[in-house]
Amino acid sequence: MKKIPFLALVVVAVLLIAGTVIAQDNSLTFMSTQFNVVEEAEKARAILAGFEGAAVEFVGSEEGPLLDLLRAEGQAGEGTVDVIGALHGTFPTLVNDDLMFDLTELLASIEEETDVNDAFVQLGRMGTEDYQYYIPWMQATYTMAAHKDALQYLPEGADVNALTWEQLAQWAQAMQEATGKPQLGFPVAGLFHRFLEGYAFPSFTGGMVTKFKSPEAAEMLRFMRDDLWPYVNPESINYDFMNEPLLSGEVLVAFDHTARLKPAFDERPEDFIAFPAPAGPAGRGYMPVVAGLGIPFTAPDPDGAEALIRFMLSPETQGAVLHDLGFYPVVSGVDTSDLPEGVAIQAAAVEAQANAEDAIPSLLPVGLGERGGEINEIFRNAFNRVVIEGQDIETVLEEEGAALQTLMDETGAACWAPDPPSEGACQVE
Amino acid sequence: MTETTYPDRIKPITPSAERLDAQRRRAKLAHAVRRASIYILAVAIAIWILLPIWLIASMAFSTPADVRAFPKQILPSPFSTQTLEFFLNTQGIINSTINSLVVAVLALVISTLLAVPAGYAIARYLFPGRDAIRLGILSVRAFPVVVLAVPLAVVFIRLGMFDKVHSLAMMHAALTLPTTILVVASVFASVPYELEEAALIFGCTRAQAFWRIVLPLALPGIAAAAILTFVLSWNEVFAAILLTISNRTLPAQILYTLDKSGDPFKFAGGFFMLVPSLIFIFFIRRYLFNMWGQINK
Amino acid sequence: MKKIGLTPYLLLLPSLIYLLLFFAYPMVQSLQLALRREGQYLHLRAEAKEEAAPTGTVAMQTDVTVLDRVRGEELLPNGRTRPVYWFLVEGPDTSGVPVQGWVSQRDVFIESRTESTTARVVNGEATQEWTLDYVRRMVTDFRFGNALATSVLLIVLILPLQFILAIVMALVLQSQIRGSTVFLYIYAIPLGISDLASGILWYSIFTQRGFLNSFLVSTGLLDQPFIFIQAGNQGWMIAAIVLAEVWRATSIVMVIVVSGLQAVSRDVIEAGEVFGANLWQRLRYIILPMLKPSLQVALILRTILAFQVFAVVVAITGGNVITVLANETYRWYDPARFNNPNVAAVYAGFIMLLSLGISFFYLRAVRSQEEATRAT
Repeated sequence: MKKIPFLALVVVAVLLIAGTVIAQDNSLTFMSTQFNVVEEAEKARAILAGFEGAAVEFVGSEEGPLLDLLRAEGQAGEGTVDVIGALHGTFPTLVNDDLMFDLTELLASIEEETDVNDAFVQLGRMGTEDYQYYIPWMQATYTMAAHKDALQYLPEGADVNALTWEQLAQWAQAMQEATGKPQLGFPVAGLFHRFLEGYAFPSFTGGMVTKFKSPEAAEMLRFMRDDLWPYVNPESINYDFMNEPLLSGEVLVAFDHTARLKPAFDERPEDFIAFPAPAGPAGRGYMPVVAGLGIPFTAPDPDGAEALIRFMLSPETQGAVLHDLGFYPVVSGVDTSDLPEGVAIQAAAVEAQANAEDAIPSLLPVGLGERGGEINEIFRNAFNRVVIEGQDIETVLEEEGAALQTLMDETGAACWAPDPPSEGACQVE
Repeated sequence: MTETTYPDRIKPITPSAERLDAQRRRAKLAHAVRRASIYILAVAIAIWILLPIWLIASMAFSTPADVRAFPKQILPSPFSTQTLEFFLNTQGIINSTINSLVVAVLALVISTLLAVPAGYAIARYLFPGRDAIRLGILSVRAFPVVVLAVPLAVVFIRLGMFDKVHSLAMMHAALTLPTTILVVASVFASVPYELEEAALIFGCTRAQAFWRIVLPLALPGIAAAAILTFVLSWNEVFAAILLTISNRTLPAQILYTLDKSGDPFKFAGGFFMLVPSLIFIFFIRRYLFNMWGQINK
Repeated sequence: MKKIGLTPYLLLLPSLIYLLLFFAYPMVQSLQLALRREGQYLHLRAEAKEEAAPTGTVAMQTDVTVLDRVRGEELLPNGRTRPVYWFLVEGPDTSGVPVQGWVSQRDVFIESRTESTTARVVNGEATQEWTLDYVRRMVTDFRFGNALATSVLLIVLILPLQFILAIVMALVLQSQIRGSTVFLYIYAIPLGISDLASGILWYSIFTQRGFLNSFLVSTGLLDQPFIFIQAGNQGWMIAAIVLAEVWRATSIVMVIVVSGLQAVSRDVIEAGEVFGANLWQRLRYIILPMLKPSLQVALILRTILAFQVFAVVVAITGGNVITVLANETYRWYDPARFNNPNVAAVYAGFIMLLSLGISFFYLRAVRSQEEATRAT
């Protein structure tokens, strides 16, 4: 009879020891939709190794699995993920399912030491006024890139760092006439919808949704069809990553996401230059892409998660991310003196684009929830129908504008920058 | 051409015989020309099939720089495994290859286990409704996978079976089952019934006769049908990309990353995907006609 | 053949159940997805509790006034608390009459949980209703017409080429040449190659800096690479897809034709030879008529499969300018694009109707032809 309590004691002791061992192993889990590629993940891990609070386990994941996991953990009430890092567009689903902590206080305490970009902080509130769903983590954007051989064909008096769309068209024409083939490329099979939403429409109309079927938008499409597209490499419809045709020499000038141009600058920094996107009658539309850090309610260690976010926002870490991974800081005071050549070239262009006098920051669509992809299809449809299929501009804008309005009404999404804020669903004028 | 020589005494003397000889020679020549043109045709078609495979293989074994180069070379020189290594090291490729293998093997097992009894029944029994069932099974083959995949994805999500390797394997098994049943039936039909009867006479039970006599004889054919299931599952893209997210199979993963990757990745992926075909078709080539022969009837 | 009993049915049963589960059930589901809409309505509650009695029902996107709020707290396993808000709101119900009741924070969008005086309904319970909206959406989508036209065009271009090539391949294999097993192996290789891999292969040939341009430029036929894949010149893109599909999918037709040829007695063919029929005559009057059943099966099978092909189109053209029905199905289903399984289901159903229709047409055409020959 005496043996049983003894056995029980042993079991309890073992459990206690095991428990304390597990408790001491206070590692944090950081799940990210960014830096999924093997080499990038390794670099991210190296940066995270500098965090002193705890060991950080960096888990790369696609967006879908991350959402599924967090939903499942939310339903179970307990979880494994402490911090998530994802693009702005991943958060609406998390907000809708009410899975995230309010980080207002954490942000306030971070801002006591470092200044975080206000526009991105606003984005992190997901349209609310007093609930910080994520804290901005890092940014990227889209710029132009060109082979240095192309510069000789620049139209007279044009400054490559302050181009207009007209000048880009003239430049493309001059290149085609000189070399015998079209030398300008766009990633039509890639992220081209961002070009339309954040660059083409805003720089001609000053808006994205509200001015979708305005006369200025019609003028933009006419310009694309008649003045620009004849000098664009026709294989653009199959381009997805512009670093490929740039490196292989299929095109001399291209537009794409900074990360998708980066390999060209990494591989041959002496051959390529980066420069801001052109400006139109309304200004220089550009689209910052922001990734944020959030803490799910189910985080096993919220205190550790907060410390990790604080670490990620420090100018030193932000600098390391720029240096090693080519994503741009969202805080001020980052040391940019010691960048690799390729990164420095791109960083200068990103800086010039964001700080241009006529810059019109155009944000990623907000508040469309699960239908976030549909707006991209609408913008693409408008472009394809007019520029590639040659359909009537007014008819196309009227029809696609109606589709856009339906989308806004059904999701109830309010306007986002550059459109002025709206009461209720955003209206296509 | 070898000249036929005749001993003097039986040398043909009539002029008509000489003409006959010339005629025969002409016929021989015409025959030779015909044979030669068939060979040329055969080789030309073989080149048409093999050339693209050769080209993609030479890309897969060139350096990434050579893959981007222009004009492209049709020999991989310098020979390099860099491009293939880059492809295999890309996140998700190894995992999705393992997924593809697991899905294909599971699909093969499910489909074969179900098809063997069904095929045996169709081959060995005459029963009311046999033709209707055959026709029904065949017509099921006509439903586009597209129609099935969309609602199945929704059902799987509801049942918590979404994004699971075994769910996709079950789907693939369903897609190949009709073909497998008919092929297995034709394999069983080709095993002489007399053998089975003899076994029964010598005191075997029906199950024993099946197990000891029929199955061993039918096994190579069944294996070929199973391999065909494997190949179909390995190649299937549409259901795979709809029914999985984190557990993608290889073709689904490659299609998904197609617009996120450069030419070296694409070409290496294209080559990697067709290698199993080169191997498996070699093993089942003799059975191909047996399989499809029956479906015609 | 054995005696009839229960045995054959028992042996067939597992397969039949399995097929029913994976074919019949999804078909019903597909119909539901295509024609039924999940409307959502939110029930307002008499108290700030899930289980409280409903006071009224409001539709999605209704703007409501916030009259009162209560803040609860839920203790989390990690030691923190999460705020749980309930709002007393007033707004028009589904028939426009104002109603009042409590809603959880989960079901409304509110700018500030502590301050805002208005909110918008964003969540609720699903109800089902019949609708033709999804069908309308497919038909009015401007890519629908293109996709349909291209799908049909591809079939019209691909199938004849495929059948001619397959018959030639089969005759070559049947002509008892040396090494015919090697040729058989080579001809059968594409059988195991996916449309995605085949698309990538032919993309490597037709892309701007691909093999075709490499050949044309290095032999001096062209000074500059010609851009085959471009929106202004869709003919080349169609040609590339046709070649890729003929290259890949002829093997299956070839196999069916060879099996059919093996069934044609050699005596009959030799008899034709003896009576001096030339190759064309033998083909026209002996071989082709006897192959008819095999060709018919191959024709139906290929048509059905051809409607499902889309990876080859995406790999070669990017899938934006040239599109086919299956590609549209995926585009509407894709969570990163339309994320709309309902319209995808309509597309899928349309593809099936088309496949069935064409198969039916083939069968009818062949039968009436037979009747005509019998009559004469």
